[in-house]
Amino acid sequence: MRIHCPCCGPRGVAEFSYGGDGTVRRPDLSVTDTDAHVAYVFERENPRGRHVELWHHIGGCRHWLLVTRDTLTHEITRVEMAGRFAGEAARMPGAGA
Amino acid sequence: MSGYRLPQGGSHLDRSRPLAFRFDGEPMQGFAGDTLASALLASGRVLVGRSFKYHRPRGVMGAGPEEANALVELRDGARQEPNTRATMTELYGGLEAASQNRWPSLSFDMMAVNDLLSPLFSAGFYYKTFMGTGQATWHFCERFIRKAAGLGRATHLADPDRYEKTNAFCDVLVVGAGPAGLMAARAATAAGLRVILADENARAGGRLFEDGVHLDGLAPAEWIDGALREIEAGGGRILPRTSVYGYFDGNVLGAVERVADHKRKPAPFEPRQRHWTIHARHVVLATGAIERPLVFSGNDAPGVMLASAGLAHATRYGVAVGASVVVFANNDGGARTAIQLADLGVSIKAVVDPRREIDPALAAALGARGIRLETGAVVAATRGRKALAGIDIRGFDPISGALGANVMQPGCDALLVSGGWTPSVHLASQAGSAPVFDAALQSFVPGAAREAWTAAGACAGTLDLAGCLAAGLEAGRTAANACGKTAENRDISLPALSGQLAGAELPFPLFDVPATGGAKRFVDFQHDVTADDVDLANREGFRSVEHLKRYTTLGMAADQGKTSNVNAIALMARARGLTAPQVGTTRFRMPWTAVTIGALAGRETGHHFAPVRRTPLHDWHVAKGAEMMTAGLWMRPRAYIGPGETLRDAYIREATAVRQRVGIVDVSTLGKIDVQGPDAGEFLNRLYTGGFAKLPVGKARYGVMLREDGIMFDDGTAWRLAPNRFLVTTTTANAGAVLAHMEHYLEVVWPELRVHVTSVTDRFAGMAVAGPQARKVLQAALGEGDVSTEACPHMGIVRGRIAGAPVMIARLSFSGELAYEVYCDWPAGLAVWETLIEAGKPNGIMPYGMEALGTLRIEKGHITGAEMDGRTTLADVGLGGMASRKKPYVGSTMTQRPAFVDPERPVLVGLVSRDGQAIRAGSHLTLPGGGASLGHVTAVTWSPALGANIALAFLSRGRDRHGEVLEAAFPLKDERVAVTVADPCFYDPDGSRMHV
Amino acid sequence: MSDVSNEQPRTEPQTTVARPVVGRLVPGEAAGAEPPALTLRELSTGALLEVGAWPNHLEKVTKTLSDLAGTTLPGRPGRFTESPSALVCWIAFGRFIYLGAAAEDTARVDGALEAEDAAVVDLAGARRIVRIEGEAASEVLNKAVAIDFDPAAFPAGALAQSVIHQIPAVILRRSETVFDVLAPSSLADALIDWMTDAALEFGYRVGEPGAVL
Repeated sequence: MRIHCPCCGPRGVAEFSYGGDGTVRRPDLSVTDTDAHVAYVFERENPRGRHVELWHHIGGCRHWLLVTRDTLTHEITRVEMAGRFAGEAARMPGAGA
Repeated sequence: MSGYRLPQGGSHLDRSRPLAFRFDGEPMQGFAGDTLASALLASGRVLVGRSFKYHRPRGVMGAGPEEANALVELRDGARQEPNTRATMTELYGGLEAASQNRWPSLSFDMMAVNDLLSPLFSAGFYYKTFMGTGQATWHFCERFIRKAAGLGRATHLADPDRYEKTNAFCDVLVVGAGPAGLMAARAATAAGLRVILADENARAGGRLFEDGVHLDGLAPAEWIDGALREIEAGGGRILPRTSVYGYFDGNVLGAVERVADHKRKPAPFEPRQRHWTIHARHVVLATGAIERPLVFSGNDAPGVMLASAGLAHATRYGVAVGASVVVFANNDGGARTAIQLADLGVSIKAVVDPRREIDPALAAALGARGIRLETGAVVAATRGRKALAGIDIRGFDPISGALGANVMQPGCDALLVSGGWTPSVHLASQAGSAPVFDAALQSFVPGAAREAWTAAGACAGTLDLAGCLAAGLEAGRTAANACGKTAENRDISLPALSGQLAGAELPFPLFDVPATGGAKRFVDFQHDVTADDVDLANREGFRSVEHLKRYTTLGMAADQGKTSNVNAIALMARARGLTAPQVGTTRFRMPWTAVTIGALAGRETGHHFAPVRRTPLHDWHVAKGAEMMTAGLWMRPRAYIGPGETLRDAYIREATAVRQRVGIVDVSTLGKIDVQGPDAGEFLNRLYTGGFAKLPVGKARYGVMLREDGIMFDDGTAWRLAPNRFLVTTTTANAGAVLAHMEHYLEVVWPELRVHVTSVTDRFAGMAVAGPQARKVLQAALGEGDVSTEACPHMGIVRGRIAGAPVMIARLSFSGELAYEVYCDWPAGLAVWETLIEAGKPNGIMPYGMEALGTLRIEKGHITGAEMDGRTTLADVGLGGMASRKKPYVGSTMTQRPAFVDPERPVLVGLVSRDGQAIRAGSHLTLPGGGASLGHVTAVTWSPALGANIALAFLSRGRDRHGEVLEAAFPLKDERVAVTVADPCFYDPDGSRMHV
Repeated sequence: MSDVSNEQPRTEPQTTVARPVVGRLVPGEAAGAEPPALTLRELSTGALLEVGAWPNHLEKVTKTLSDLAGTTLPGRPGRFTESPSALVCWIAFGRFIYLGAAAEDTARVDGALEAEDAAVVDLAGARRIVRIEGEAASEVLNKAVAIDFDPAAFPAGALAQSVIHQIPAVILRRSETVFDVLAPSSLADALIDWMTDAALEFGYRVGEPGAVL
């Protein structure tokens, strides 16, 4: 499997580490309700088909990516920067290449 | 009489270069260009192996990758290689090959008794006999069965050869260099694309050599060479002897190039094999087709061969596979093969065809050559056990499928069989939807593509040469379009064909002939699966193809069912009263052909298995006699073992020096992370359980991080070097994980924080000076700087210089003694270390290793990875006080879950052996005399300071049990040690020794 | 700790280690196929820093780095640019490696960047740099990294962060046939060990140490 890193270009999956469901949001620090944290840590959908996942390009630029992947076919249809440089990345020349 | 070398012919053969080789020790001769199989056939060798289960005599059945019978052990000594297909083995001078799966000899094999006992070994034998109450029987019988089954033997010696692994990139990968593949590669090259053309054979061309035609007036060999030159001139890469075995996600394909398998041994520095990971924008699958055998009684007799193989051996290697040959086919290819062979000088006795009539032109051509044609007839049985002696030809009713009267029982030494062609859909199946049944071919063709590939030629069901060439050209253009090149293929046109052109050889739907006599009818030759086994699987309810495969092991041999898959499906379909497409086919998995472990391992063996990570003091440690041990990738000194010392002597000496005087240890392996930015304090405050936002500059603090689920993740210290800057240390093992953890929070969770994290593990060499004399030694070594109690209190940080190099010093203790961690630039590490050792000599400074470090920390009850094992909480290890109640942090909310506050939870305790016996790590704790486990032992040592064997352990209600006597049980060694439960901090519990 | 009760006394200092390292570049040495098609050498640099720019401060930081280096930074990560005095690698969004010819560049870069714009980490000594030079250089690297080194896809001036035999590396293409590889100091010997072994089939000789700039 290859992931097209918005920073580094296409790389083999061995350079990445899986970071889980990319759609869950950590409760705010101020939230002390255990159930909210239990949901964040443990409760996951196991979708058949399109899934947005976090991948860490740990063997490359070390950015965290949001990868839209089909769990059935492994087809990757979209890769975006997950984090704080998403805005810059989108404005760079060659973005989305 | 059997096979022999024809006086002339052989497109692959160089008759001017005879090569001597040996088979089962017998000297033989072939020519350059031969395969081992062709050379054996030319030498008149019929029997070449014994089958997997029944040890039946077997001969060569194919001429290429489909070979299921002629598997040999190649070479000897460390290069001995089992289960090598003789048809794919290029002959070289001095080749040594041996038949396998026989004892004491190929001709007389004791295990052939299995064949007589075959009713016992039918499908499902193992399940029925050995499951349930049969399990005890299995344990008794296993070693005999293991010995009896199986094929060749692998050597136990280390492989002396190199194997390489590499990556390649191209626009278009063409798999298969037959007519379709060559045309596709030419077209893609002409479009200006980067092309890789891989073919598993030594020579490109595929079945072109057997088509008996000229292309643009050129003989096949000349036309093929021209095409290859053209592709190479256009920048394409040709990979001969390269089997593309797997099609992976994202158009990544695995291939193995047999770089030097055709040599006695590789040239110096040349790999034997090279694994290619090929990344292609588009793939053209031109993988061809494999001829199907027919299923009839005795169809595995040595001398029964695929018709295409009989022809290939004649055209390529100038070999007549028999002196008296009969052809049995359900399609026109049989008659055509007979005609071609007769024209090459092979004596063809008859052609047997179940159809009532065949193409009259072919019938006439057979007649003109004196070849008897028996239509409406089948071969019902064979005679001869170790070599084919003759066949029974019976009448056959193509409508009812019933056998008719005896026609004749001719003698013959070779029977060429064709049941039609099976497209090699394996790669397409790996990267596509289920293969689709083609009624005309009576076989499966590729389904819809799920990756960027185009199938062309015989693998897509096109069987005639003109069609293959055209399909290849079209596929090349398709690939070019897919790569964004609007095909400028003006230079490429189809070659003009001349000669006897064959049409598509479509089979009459005959797969098997009813059984006659008691002889077995084989479907899967390599795994010895018969037509009766398929029927049995049906009767016993294993009817789906997936069940059939697993119950009978059909298609699960190294040949991956290349010749058996379609026949098995057809037989099952008939048994169930269904059509073949209703039964369907199994999904093909990689690999297409067997891949050696060597090719997968590449150079990552032995010393090169993993990189070695070294501190700047590595050479010093080794020179001083340190026994080195691995810690992840790192090498660390275990102990500096002096002459006459044991490891135990050495670490006791080292640990004692730390407690009584002073020691020094290399801690460069600790993870170090620079945490920098306006929000650095806030960031660490959120990650650590303790408070860090208000840590003063110039102070360090011990900290623990939790995972989001509230379990301990890692511990270490954070040094505030500036208001905006911390140096965070982690455990050696978790350095990478902590950095990734931080990056996750900064990029994904709290992107608003302005913090930058960088690994500085390799920036700083680290060494800890520990012991009552530590301050004295350090001060003596310092060229600049002050480590007095006033300047550097506990957890204080000072800067200075040692050996001219700037150093940072933090007063931290892992051993429980007065101790300092000294950090300097990595390249200055050795000079600083040696200066410290020199300065410590008057005080008897002793370098110490991991054993002493472990002992010292166990004496203090300090935790490491053995205790932070992914199950423990702060409270479990007695650090509940470090959980801040003033602020939230990662994991804080989750620590309140019921299981985490259960009073029965095992908590950290110390153990002291009561009778001097050593405690074993991993022991379970029970009440005296046994019972349920109350906890387990994580770390053990002989404590020189206490003069006792001690341990750390997790024990249910442990804090209420101090003073209690328990047993540490290690059943694997049948050991029970009486222990007294104690506080985990055995030594200096009030910490007075480090606060001096 | 492990069980040490059954260890035999040692009679003389043991110099063998569990996994020896033989990664050394000795100038003038050659090995493998002949004639050697590759040259390996170690390079040094005066200063080596990592610069981490905060989001939305990239423009300012790239401007400052361009001024410091006396060159213009490329438009996006994955490229480096060089002047006679400095080589600036844009290794990730917001992350740069600054290689300066002079050791004094460390202080100069640190001083020129505001804490409000970027973090600066001195990595001098934390990396070692190995140069592999020759027609087959990309083939050696491709044994470890799945990156298309076709000059059209990865021209001179391109860089890649990847992993070579488990070793995190920054690969700079200085010219069509010259690659500089930055590796963590603790793993540099292991990188050399790997690279010399991978280069055997092409043959290599070891050149005199040089400077990055």
